[in-house]
Amino acid sequence: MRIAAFLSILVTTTTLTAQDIIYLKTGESLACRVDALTDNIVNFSLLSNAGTAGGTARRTVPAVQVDYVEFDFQEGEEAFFEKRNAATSDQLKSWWDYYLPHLHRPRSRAAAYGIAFAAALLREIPDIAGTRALSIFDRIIERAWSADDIALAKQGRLRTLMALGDLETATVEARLLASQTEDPGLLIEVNYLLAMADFQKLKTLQEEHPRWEEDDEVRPERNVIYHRALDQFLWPHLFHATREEVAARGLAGAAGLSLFAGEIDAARARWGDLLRLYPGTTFATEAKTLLETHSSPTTAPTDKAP
Amino acid sequence: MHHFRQVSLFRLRPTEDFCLVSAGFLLTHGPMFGFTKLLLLLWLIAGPPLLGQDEPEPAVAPAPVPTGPDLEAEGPAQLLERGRAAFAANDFAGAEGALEKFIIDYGAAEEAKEAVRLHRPLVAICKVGLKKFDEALKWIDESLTDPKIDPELSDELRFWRAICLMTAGELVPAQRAFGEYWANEGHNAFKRYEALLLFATLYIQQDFPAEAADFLEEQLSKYRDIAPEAASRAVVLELYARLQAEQPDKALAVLRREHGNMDRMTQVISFQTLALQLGATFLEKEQFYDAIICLQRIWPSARLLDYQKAKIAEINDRITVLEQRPNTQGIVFQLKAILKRVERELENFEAVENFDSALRLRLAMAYQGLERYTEAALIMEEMLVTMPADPIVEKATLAQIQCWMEVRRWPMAVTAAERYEDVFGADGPSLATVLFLKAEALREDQQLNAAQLVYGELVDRFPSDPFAAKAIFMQGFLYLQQDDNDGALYQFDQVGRQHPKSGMVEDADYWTGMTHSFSGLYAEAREHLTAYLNRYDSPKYRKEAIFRIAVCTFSLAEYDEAIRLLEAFNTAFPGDPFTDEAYLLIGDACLGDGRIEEGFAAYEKVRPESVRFFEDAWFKKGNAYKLLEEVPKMREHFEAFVTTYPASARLPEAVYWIGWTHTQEDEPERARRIYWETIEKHGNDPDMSTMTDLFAGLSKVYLPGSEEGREELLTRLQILKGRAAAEKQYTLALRAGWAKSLVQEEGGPRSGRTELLDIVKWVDPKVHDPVITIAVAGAMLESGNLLTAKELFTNIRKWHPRTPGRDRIYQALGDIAAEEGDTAKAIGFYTRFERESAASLQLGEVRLKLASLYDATGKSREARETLESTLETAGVTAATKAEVLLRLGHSHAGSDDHAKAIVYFERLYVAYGKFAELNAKAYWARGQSLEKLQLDREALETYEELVAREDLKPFDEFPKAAGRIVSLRRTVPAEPEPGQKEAAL
Repeated sequence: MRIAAFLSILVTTTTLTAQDIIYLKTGESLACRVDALTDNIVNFSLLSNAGTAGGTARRTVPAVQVDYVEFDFQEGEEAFFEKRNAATSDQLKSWWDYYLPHLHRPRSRAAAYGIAFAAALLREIPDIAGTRALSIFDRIIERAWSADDIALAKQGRLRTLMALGDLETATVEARLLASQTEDPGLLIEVNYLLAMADFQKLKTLQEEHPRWEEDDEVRPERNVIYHRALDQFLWPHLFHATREEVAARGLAGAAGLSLFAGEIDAARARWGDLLRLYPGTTFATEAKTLLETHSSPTTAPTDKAP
Repeated sequence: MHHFRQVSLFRLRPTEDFCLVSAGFLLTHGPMFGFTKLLLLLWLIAGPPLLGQDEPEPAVAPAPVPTGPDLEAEGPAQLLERGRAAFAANDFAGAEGALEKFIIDYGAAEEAKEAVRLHRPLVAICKVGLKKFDEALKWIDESLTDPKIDPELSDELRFWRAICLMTAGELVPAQRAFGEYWANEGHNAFKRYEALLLFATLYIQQDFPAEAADFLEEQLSKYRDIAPEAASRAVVLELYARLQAEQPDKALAVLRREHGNMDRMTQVISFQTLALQLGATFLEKEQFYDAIICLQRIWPSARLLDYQKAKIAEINDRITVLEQRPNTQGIVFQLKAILKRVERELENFEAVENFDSALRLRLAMAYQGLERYTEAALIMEEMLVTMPADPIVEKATLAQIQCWMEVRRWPMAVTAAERYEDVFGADGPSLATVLFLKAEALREDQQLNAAQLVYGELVDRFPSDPFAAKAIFMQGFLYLQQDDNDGALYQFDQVGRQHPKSGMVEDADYWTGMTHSFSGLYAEAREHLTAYLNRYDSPKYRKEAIFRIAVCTFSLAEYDEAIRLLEAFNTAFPGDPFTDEAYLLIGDACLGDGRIEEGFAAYEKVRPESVRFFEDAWFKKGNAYKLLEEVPKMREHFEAFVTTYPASARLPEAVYWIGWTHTQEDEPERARRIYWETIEKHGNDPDMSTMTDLFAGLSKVYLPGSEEGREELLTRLQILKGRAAAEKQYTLALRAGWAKSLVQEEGGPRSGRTELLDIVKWVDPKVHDPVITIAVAGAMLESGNLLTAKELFTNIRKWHPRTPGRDRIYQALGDIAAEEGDTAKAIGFYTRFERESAASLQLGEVRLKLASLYDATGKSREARETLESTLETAGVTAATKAEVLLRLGHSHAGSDDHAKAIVYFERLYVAYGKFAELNAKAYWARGQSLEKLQLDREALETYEELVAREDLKPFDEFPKAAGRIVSLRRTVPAEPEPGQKEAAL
C-alpha cells in the first residue's frame, strides 16, 4: 500500500485526542504525537481510540511528503505564548532552545519565541545582551520559514544595532530594507528606525558641535540630518494616517525632534496636531502633558524655520 | 396558482428633478463632484427585480409573441391564453392588451370574476413594465383590494405602488408607501431595504436631507448585520444627505464611524468621492483639521480601482457558483443588481481625471492652511514624484516650492524648481515664477553666482514677464552685495528701460541713489535721491532717501546744511532708529564747525540701545576732550564708561585712554593702576572676553622697550598668577600666565612656551578665549604632546567654530593626524584650512603638506592641482614657490611626462636662482629628463650650466653632473664655432 493511501486511511480512522498534526502535501492531515522530526523523516505515534487496549503505533513518513507539522502546545504553553512579548528573557530562553531545531520548518513557533526572547534581552540588559540578541535575530533571518517572522527579525536586528550604537550599519541596512519592500507596515517601521537613528546622530553631532549654528562646515550636515529625521518621522502621519498608532508615534517623534532643536512652537504645533488628529492613541496623553509643560514659547519666535 | 415565467421588467431611471440637481451640482462643483452626485443615483438605476423574474439579458430583446388574429374576434379563453403567454414571454404590450380586454369585456360576468381577480395584478405589472405608471396605479390599487390576493403578489404590488406614486411625482404618498413597506417586516426583505433607501431618497427629493440622514442613521443598526450590502448603500446615501443638509460635522462623524467598514463596502468609490467633497468643504471653511481627517481616509485611485475590480470578480464568482445550485434565483438577482451598480460606479470613476492629484493637493492645502509647510511640501513631494504631469501637479509644484521656501529649506526649493523645469519645461505656465523663486532660493542659500545666472535666464526667456523686472532688479542687488557698484547701476538702469511701467522702477530708482552713495559719489547720490523724492507723490523710500541725502551732505563736509537736514529728519521721524546715527553725525558736524557744546549735546542724545552709535558717540566725545587737552575731563569721561558699561567690547580701549591721561600727567603708576584695578575686578570672569585685550595691552604702560619695565611686569604677572591659582581663580591665573608668555616672547618666539605649558592645567576651551587656548595648545604641540594638543584643538574648535584662529586649529589638527598616520583625516583638516583660511599666511605651507599627502596616497592629479594653486597663492614665500616648482617637475617626471617636467625645473632656476640647493636639484633633474627625451645635446648644456655655477659646488648634483658631461661629450658632437659654420657653408 502506498504510504499516502495508508496515511489517508489513518486520517479517517484516528481520533483527535493527540495533539500534533501532520499536514501532508496531499492536503490530508493526521493527528498524532510527533516523536522525531528531521529533514528526512517524521517519526510519529498514532494515538489509539480511548479503549481498554490503549497503546500506540509508531510510524514513519518521509519528510518530503509532509507539508508542515503543527505542534500542539505543551501544558500551559498556549497562555504563555499569547503573552510571550511581555515575558522575561529567562522565561523565554527555554522555549527558544526547545524549538530552535525547528526554526526552518513551516509553521514552527521557534521564530516567534526567538524574536520575543531577543527583544526581552534587549529590553532588560541592552548593553550586555545586545550581541546575543543580534545573533538570535540573525539566526532567525537566516533560517526562519515565515517571511513575516524574517521581517520582524530584521526590524529587531536594526533596533539592536541602534542599541549597540552601530548607527551606520543600522542606517545602511534600514535603507536597503526599505528599498526591498513594498509592505507599508514594514516600511513604516523601517522609516521610524531610520528617523530614530538620525535623531541619535543629530544628538551626537550637536553634542560634538554645540556651536553648530556658527560652524559653516557642520551646519549643513546638521540640517541634512535634522530634516531627514523630521521627514521620516512625519511619513506615516502624512501617508498612512489611518494607521493611527504609528502615525501618532511618528508625529510625537517629530515633535520631540523639534523640541530638541529648540523649535518650541513647531513642537507645540505637532503635539496639537497629534491631539486633534489622533486623540485615541497611546501617544495622546504624553502629547497633552508636553503641550501643557511647554504652554508658552520659551524662546522668542524667530524667522528661522526648521 | 401563479406560474409566472421569469420575465424582465424594467429599470427605474433617475427623475428629471434629480438630473437637474445633478447638472447644477456639476456646474458649481466641477466634474469631480458632479461625478459624486451621479454615483449616488446608481442604486436607483439598478432597481430590484420583480418577484420571481429574471434579470434582462441586455443584448436580447424580449421575444415577441406572434400576433394572432384580431383580439376583437377572440373569446375570453383565447384572450386569457394569449395574455398569459405574452406575459410569460416578457411581451407586456401583448399581455396588457389581451388581459385588459378580457377584464373589461368579460369582467362583469359572474363566472369571470375569479379570472379577473387572478389576472388584474398581471395587468398592473404589465403597465408598470410599459412605464404606464398612472394607469398601473389604478390597477394596483384595485388588485390590492382583493382580500384573497396571493401574499407574495401583494407584497410585490405594494412595492411597485410606491414606485408608481414616486414616478408620478406624488412624493408624500410615495414616501408613505415606502415607509409602510419598510415598517412591515413581513415584506420581502430585499425590497424592504430598497424601500428604506427610497424612503430616505424621497426626503432628499423633498428637500429634507437632514431628515433623510437622521432616518438612515437611526435605522442602520436594525439591518446592518443581516443586510450589509444594503447597509453600505444606506451609509453612502446618509453621507450624501449630510452633505446636502450642510451638516459637515455630522458627515464627518459618518466618515469616522464607517471608515473601518470601507473594505466591506460595495460602493466604496461613491463613499470616498463624497469624503473628498466633504474634505473640500472643510477646506473652504478653513476647518483644516477636519479637512485632513477626511482627506487622510481616502484611498488612492489605484487602490479604489483594484478594490472595485476585485469586488466585481468576487460577485461574478458568487453568481457563477449560485447559478449552479437550485433555488438561488433571488440571491442571484440581488447579486446581479449589485454587480450592475458596482460596474457602473467603476466605469464612471475610471473616466475621472486627476482624482489622486486633486486629493493630494487638497490635503497639502489643509496642512498649508495650518502653516505646516513641511508637511504640505512633503505631501506634494510624494505626489509630484509618483504622479504624471497634469495641471494640478503643475500648480502643486509651484506651491511646493513656496512651502519649502517658507521653512527655509532652500536646497529643497531649488530641487523642486528644477523638477518643474524638467517636467513642464517651456510649457509650464508658471515657469517664469518658478525661475524667480529658484533664484531667490539660491540667493538665500548664499549661492550668489548661481542665483545671478537664474535671474539672467528668467530675463532672457521671459523678457516681458512681470517677474523679469524683479529679476533685473535682484541682479543689481546681488552686484551691490558683491561690491560691484557699476554692475548694480547698470541693472537698476535696465529696470526702467525694459519695464518702464513696472513697480520695481521706483525700487531701482532709490537704489541707484544708494549705490552712488556707496561708491562715495555723494553729490550724485544727493542729487539723484532728491530727484527721486520729487518724482513720486508718496515715495516708498521717503524716510530712507531723506536720511541718505542728509548723510551725503555731511559727507560732502557741508556741515551747516547737514546739521539742518539731520535735525529736520529727527524732528520728522522722532524715535526712528536712524535718529541715533543722525545725532552722531550732528555731533561730528558741530565739532567740525567748532560748535563744541552743541556737538556734545548731540552725542548725548544717542541712545545706549543703539550700541555701536552710542559707543562711537562716547569715544568721539572723549577724543574731543583729548583734542581740547581737557585731560581730567577726558579721564572722568572714560572712567564713567568703564564703570557703567564693563561688558562693552570697547572696555580695554576706555581703560587704555584712562591710562593715557595718567601718562600725560606723568603719573605712570596711576596709569598702571587703572589696568590692574580693572583686571582685579573682571579678570576672573570668563565672559569678559575683553580682558584678553586688556592683559595684552599691559606692556604699553610698562615702559615699552625697557628691560626694567619688562621685569616689573613679569614679576607682577607672576604674583597675580600665583595668588589667583591659590584662590582657585583659574581664569585669572590663566590670563596672567598667558600675558606673561607674551612678555617673555618679546625675547624670542619660543621663550613663552614654558609658561604656556604651565598654564595648560587651567584651560577650559568651552569658556576661555581661543586666543589664549590656541596659544596653549600650540605650545603643547610644539613640545611634542600630541595627545593633549589634539584634545585641546578639537575642543577649541568645538566651542569656537568661528574663531579667527581656526586656521591654526585646522593646520595643527592636520599635522597631528598626519603624524598619527591618519592621512584621510589630515587631508580633511588641511582641506578645511584651505576653505576657511584663504587669507592665512600659512596657506602655502599647508598646501605643500596637502600635496605631499595626495602624492603619498597616489592622487597625483590632486597633488599637482594643489601645488599649482600654491604658486598662485598670495603671501607664499619665494622659497616655498621654488620648492613647489621642483616638486611639480618631479611629479611630471614620475609620470614619464618629461616634456612638462623640464619646464618646471627650468622655471625654478631661472626665477629663483638664489636657492642654491634647489637650483642644483632642478638642473640635475632637468638634465635627466632631457636625456629621457633623447635630447642629449640639451641635457649636456644643462649639466654644463650646473657645473658653471660656483654656488652649486657643495651639492651632490655637482659631481654627478660633471660625470654626465664626460659621458655625453663622447656621443654628442661638439657644436661648431660660428666661424666654422660659415666656412662649412
